[in-house]
Amino acid sequence: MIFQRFFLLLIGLYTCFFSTVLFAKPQRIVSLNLCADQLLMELLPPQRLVGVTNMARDPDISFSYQKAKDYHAHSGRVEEIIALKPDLIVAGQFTSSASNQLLETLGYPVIKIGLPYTMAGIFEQIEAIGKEVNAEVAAGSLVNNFKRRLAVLNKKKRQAPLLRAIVYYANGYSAGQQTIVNEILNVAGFTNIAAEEGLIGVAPFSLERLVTSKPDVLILGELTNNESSLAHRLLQHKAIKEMINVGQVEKILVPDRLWNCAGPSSIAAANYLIKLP
Amino acid sequence: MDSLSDLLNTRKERRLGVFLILLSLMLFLLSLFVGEFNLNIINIIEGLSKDNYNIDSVVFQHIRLPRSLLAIIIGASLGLSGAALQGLLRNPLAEPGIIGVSASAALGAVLVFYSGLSLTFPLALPLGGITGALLSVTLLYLLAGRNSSVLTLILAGVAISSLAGSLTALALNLAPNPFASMEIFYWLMGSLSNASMEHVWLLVLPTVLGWWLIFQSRHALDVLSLGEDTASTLGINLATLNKKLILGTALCVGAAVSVSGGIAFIGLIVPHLLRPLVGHRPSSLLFVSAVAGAALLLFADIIVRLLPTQQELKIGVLTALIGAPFFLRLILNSRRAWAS
Repeated sequence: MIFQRFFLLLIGLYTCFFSTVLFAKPQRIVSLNLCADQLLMELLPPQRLVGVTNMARDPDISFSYQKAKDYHAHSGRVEEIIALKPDLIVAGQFTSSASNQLLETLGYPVIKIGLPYTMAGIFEQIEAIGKEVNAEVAAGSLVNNFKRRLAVLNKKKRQAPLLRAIVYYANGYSAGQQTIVNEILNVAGFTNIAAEEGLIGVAPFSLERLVTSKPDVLILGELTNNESSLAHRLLQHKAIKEMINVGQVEKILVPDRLWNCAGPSSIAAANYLIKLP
Repeated sequence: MDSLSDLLNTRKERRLGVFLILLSLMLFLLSLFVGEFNLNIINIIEGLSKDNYNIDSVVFQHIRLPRSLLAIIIGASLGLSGAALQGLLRNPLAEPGIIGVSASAALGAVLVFYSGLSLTFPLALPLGGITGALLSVTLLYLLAGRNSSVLTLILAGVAISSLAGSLTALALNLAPNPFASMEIFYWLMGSLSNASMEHVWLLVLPTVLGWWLIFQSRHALDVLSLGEDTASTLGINLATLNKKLILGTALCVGAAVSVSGGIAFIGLIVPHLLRPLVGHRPSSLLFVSAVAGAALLLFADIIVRLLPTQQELKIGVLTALIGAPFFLRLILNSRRAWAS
């Protein structure tokens, strides 16, 4: 009898122990990815999100650059991350894999988040991450807020005929199918020419194709002003200026921070496109 | 035809010259009409007047035309400077790409471009390239000198190339720009894509000056092929000749590289193919090398546009693919000469 009780107690202790190990909610989370930074800052206070990338503070590329001032920023070096004593690391699919692997080998739990390219994908990702970091309530209200703003946008956006738009990045890239930029354009009521022409992902789109694509709207990144790179010099090409004149193309400059990640910034990007006259 | 007879000596050479000019013209026209988009000639002609300006003429005037013009100018500069350097150093393997002149010009251009200096006054860009080229030709001339073995020249060239290449990479990595690492490739391999008319204007003045300097010394180059001592007894001022040729090559190669990056091997292939056809005479070789260089670069640029790669292949990759085996063959052929 005593032996049986002792046995039960042992089992009880065991379950107790495992549940704390297996189901413990992570308390010190470190992000290694700019897009993860932006999502996690919406969900977690600085006490629980103990490290974001230093890119998160860059107003050119980070949507939540102001919020990031309240969080600790790291440089991405492995020793610096270990010093933060994380119990969960959130990386991007494309975070430099050597440090990902090293952290995994050292026994740190690492989750990798992908790049969703639809609004539905964004909702799923927010809810999934919310579960992982034990912030389901915050995730739920973020998604609801997102959906509400999307509904408002749907009412305000331009109806048919849709304007034909093309996005042109430094180095001659455009965004085609399966990109969040394409989804943002569609949500905001534009047809994306690059997607229509079968471009998949962010891929090269030659200057000649751009000039002859007859867009109504040309969308450029705001980093256009940085002339000291060949990549950006392309955006100043005379042929683009002439195309704008000849085709009476409307030019919209979109700050890169609005759409280099999928997430809270995406709805802001769609709004930005619509509010313009 | 007067000027042509001045540049080329025999009737056979003149025929070759005319043939090459016609070939280049044909390639130039072809180059204007090859691309992803089929241009309508009627639209282009109509577009010449301001009122009927249309998309076809935008593509023609601002994309195709500057690109084809640059191919001609840069190809001619590379062919000509290859022939001139081979005459100056009396060394068959002298070529701006191989001996590090292009890499140094790229370094000069990169320093000017990424420091933002080229924004304050545009001509700074070719001037940067020219300064880089000038320094390296002078350095080579001092290091490898005249009459030095092929080996010394090539090794000096390798040293200068790798030094300039790594300094370029360093400069680009220090530049505050996320595309720097991709652009190293552009400067070192060369490309004509996305050229604009502004590039042509930047390039044209120093290039023509360089050509003029080189062509002026063509008769002295003939005499120099008899050896330095003979040349000076025949009244050639060697110091002036060297200065003219060094400055001339630096001007046209430096300007070319500052616009297109370093395109290799044109200056090696072209003079070698043509030398037997002009009786090994340096003065005649200069002109035909310039024209054939233009034809070869135009041809390479057309091929690059026709290849079904997702992003256009850098033109320097193509010229290296043609040129490197050629270079290897030259080395194998001249192995005996090396032993001496």
